[in-house]
Amino acid sequence: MAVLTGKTCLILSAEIALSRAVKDHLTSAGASVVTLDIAEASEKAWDEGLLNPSRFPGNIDVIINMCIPDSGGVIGQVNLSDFRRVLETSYIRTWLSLKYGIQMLRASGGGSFVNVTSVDGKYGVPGAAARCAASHGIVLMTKSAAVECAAKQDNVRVNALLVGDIVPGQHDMYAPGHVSPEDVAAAVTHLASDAAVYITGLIMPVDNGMVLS
Amino acid sequence: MNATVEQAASVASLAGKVALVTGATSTFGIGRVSARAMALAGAYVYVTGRDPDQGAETVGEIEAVGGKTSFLKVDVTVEDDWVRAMAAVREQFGHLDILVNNAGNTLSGLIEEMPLETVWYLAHLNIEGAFLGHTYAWPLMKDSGGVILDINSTAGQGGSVGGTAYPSSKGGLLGLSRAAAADGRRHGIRVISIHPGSTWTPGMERVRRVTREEYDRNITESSRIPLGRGAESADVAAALVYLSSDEAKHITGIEYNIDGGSSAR
Repeated sequence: MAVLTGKTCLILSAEIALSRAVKDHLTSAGASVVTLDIAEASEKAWDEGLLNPSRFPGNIDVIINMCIPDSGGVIGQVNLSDFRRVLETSYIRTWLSLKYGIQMLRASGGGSFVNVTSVDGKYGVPGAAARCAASHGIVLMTKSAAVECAAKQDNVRVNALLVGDIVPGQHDMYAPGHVSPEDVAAAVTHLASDAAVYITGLIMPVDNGMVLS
Repeated sequence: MNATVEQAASVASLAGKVALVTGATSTFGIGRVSARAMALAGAYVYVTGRDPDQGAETVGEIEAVGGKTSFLKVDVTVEDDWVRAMAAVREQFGHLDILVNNAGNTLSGLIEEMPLETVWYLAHLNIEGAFLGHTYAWPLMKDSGGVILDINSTAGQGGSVGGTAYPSSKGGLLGLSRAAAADGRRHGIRVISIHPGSTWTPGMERVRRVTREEYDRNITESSRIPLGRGAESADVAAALVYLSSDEAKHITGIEYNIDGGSSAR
């Protein structure tokens, strides 16, 4: 279905397999897709990366922020610098992408922002204190950004997907928690599209029924 | 009605237990009142904070009502402070039963106007501060069991305008608490996330220039709290005494709201 015809989507991520699947899905739905990876977690890097008009001359309608944190490890075995690195590369990076990405979407007259984070944003998982902290934080950040944009009536929607373990290829309901990149991509496309125009602040698990396990 | 410190102290016995409360010296409230209630319930309470003068004042206040306590200087964002504090606990008792990660702060602002420094400041204090508490309390708990109470907020359960830094940091803390509860299970370490709603503290009168009457009227008129009034520090203290006691030994991994019913709406 060409639900994204005429829309330009920006994927913020390093080149991971999931990003490629999302890119393919968005493209097949009719969108133009650009990707950008800003490694540095500074305001300057993100301001220049997203708000420099020469870099993106046209409108950006959709921003997909890939922010699945590393697990970190068991309490007592993770040091502060490793814990902080997880926060910086996911939680802090997501805040920067929201700060500058929302302004980018406002300049386009509105749009859809989708954070793709871990299902650990909903559960406490052993050995994953850093990922649980970062992804729970991203959930609340998503909700706050959504209500801020709604209060401004700026036509910017902000949602988050909580994805389970990415397992390429076939999968079924007998493996709760396992999802394919295509499942995630389909959910991204839906939230990006105008069919989801009333949906904001939604925290949507894409986890093949993990709650059933 | 709200609970009193005396009621909080009589919820359960903490006799023989060793507790450490962060952010316990501020006259603003929850940490200091909870430390007093826990000491009155029989625990030895280490009160910690950044200001030795306020620490001495807090110790004096608790000793005056017969509690056993001492002050340790801990800025929760400074790892060395944790190392020193836990070394002192180990030397005196060899173990720790109760840690209350209470120190925290709040700042709000629209995302386009907020500097990154604010987000980092709240992440360092509200998330990493508690992470360090867990990390350094564990060696003193994992042989004998223990309980860690992370003071969160109802703000950590929902988004708000101006909230991309503070509620998100409390959301991060909730994730940490849940993961730590999962990690702690096999060591008998319980972890509970405590969510006070709007809590009246005497400090609000000074800092926000709002009287108790104005505060109460505002809550009644906005009708955002079903019970029609804010919490007081002693309501939180009552929950902490219960949840840190053996009465609650089957309680872990939960969110405990002290919010007059707000989250039930």
